[in-house]
Amino acid sequence: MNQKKLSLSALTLSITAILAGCAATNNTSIAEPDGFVQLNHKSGQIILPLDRYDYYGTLSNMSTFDKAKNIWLRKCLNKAGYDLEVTQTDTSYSQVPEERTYGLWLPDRAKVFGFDFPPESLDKQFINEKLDNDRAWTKEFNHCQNQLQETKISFLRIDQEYTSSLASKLASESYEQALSDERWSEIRIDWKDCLEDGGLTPPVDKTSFVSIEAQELLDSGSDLDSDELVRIANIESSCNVKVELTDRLGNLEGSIQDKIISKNVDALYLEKNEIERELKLADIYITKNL
Amino acid sequence: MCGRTLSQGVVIKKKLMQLAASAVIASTLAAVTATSANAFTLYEDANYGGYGYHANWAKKDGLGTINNKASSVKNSPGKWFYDGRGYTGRKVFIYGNNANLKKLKTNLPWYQNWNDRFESYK
Repeated sequence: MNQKKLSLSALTLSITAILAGCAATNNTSIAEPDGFVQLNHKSGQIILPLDRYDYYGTLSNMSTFDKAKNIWLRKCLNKAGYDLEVTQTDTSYSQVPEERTYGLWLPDRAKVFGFDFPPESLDKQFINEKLDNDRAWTKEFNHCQNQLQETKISFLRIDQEYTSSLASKLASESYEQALSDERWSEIRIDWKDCLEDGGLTPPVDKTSFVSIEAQELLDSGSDLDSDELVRIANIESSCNVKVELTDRLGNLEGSIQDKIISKNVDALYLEKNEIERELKLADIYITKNL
Repeated sequence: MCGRTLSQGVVIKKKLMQLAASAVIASTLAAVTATSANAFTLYEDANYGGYGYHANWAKKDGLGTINNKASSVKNSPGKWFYDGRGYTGRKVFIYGNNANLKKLKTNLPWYQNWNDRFESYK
């Protein structure tokens, strides 16, 4: 009898503990973090905490390194009698492609450009036009690109150095944790419901942010700003805004990054200092050679 | 010339057709060569092996036959590669060469890598 009572008590305690545990989990699942992502609607950049420690993490870094690289290429092309236009540093939205980490999220752009991007900066337009139409220029440009890759420039990182950074590794770790967080899927459900209401089929894969209809059109080679893709892009981006998908997923991932940063702050500061040193060198190079 | 026989006419027509065919082949080859000069290459295998897809530098989306199949990259002029169509999802910046995308894990969980993962680039 006593043993039975003991067993019952143990069972009751277990159930209570399980229920309490569930309640705690549910509370956690309801609470969504806030204040960890910065959305720049003009440039289309999504800034997460680790981006501040990343070589290409900010629009300003990207513009500076890109500009320094183009000046180096221009000097190389000049030697062979060719030119390369280099515009003033600016941070206009066309300088870099907008980020679509969590899908299309800028309806004003989607309504005009569909899945395409707004026109690029003048130097990029110049390069693309030359690459399309000027064979001799392209040959020399290829040659200069190869030279640039072989030349060790104090402020310019090639892919291996960029991708092996601590910030990059920690960003991967944060993304992995965000993906396995149940809130990731919960937030996506709101977006998927909205897509269905708009007559679209949401993607199944939890890392995908493009409707099945858009994927099929893109696979078939449809123009990125065709009428149908503009229509779909408008629905997708409007749903993104309506359920605050980019904001919520960005905050979720950003909150995880924030915790990871606090555990690696010393090593990250060393990397950040190195990037700042490279930025200064790039700025000096630009000033001297523009 | 007016008294040319039917068989002579056929021979001339054949020659003209051959000339036209040669011109088509020549222009096609020129176009292919031009594309090659104006492109970086994505390979189906690591270490720049297997099928090579010449990706246009200015091109914005679509990887044609090598969609989700690229394993190495040569001469990238500094491009963002995305794991979703329409430049969505995770991205990685590649400048120059990468001989083995299996070793590239930037912005992906530890159990994933960029091999066979590119769906668009910019």
